[in-house]
Amino acid sequence: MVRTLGWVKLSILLIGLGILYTTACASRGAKGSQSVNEPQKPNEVVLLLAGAERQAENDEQEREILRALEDLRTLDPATLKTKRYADYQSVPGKWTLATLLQRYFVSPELHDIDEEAVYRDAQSPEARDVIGRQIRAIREGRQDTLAP
Amino acid sequence: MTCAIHPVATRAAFICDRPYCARCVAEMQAAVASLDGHVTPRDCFIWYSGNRNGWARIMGTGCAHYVAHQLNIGVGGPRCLAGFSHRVADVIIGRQVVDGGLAAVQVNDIWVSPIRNHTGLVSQIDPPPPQSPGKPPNPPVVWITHASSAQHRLATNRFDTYFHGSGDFFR
Repeated sequence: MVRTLGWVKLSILLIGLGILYTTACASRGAKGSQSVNEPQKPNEVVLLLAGAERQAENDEQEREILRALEDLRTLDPATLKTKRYADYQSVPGKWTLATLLQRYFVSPELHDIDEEAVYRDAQSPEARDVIGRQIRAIREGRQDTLAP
Repeated sequence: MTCAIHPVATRAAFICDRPYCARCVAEMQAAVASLDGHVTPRDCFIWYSGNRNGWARIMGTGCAHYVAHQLNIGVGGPRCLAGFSHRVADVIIGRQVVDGGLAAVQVNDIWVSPIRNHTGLVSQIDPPPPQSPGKPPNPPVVWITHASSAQHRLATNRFDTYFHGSGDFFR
């Protein structure tokens, strides 16, 4: 009788552990590939453009920056990857969008651009807000160098 | 002596007063080679961006970087490898707008565009052209030297024509 009760307790304990393990796995799966303890990476577009100084020499360059930012705010990552823009001397089709941003903007801190992350992170509301602020600054003929 | 970036590697060269290994030197040379023709000076407009991409060019056109080097300005935000500023806003920190029109402008004053997106240095001032009868006196001709991304070179252009006579001078 005593031995039977021991087996029952052990069985209940094992079933409980199994449920806990399954729940933990499901929870982790719902968060994608990111580990539970892994800190969330900052948004690449926000890092790049929030508080960034825009450097350009003439109206042609400013217009190309504006065109690129409009695309960044509205297009999906796959399309953004295929887009090309004029370089400093207005030669069309020379630069990717990430290259254009790197050549014209100076972030508050030195920053290494992750091109894939720029296109992916541009889809988030916080990124679109920052892009929108830079677009307004160009249209109003000023800088938007206020840090977030 | 070991490399400033890779402590297990031995020094191959001193660059901007710091020791770097052969791998760093090779990556630095590649990053400098990738710079546009107008970037002046060139050797220091790079930074170590981490293990993933190594040495890379600094962001922006480099216009403020040229002015910072000419006037020894190393204040504010990010700096080049030699310690000089490369944001337009930083090169005018602590300076005052020159009042009194073009007649008051001097060589080595900093010119900044109205949008604060481009900058250069006053490098030459020519006497005013002769006054036409019945017209007001002409202002002096101010020449600005700037790292010109649009012209792909370090260029010297007239303030009244190339820059449309707009912008501010700081001293």
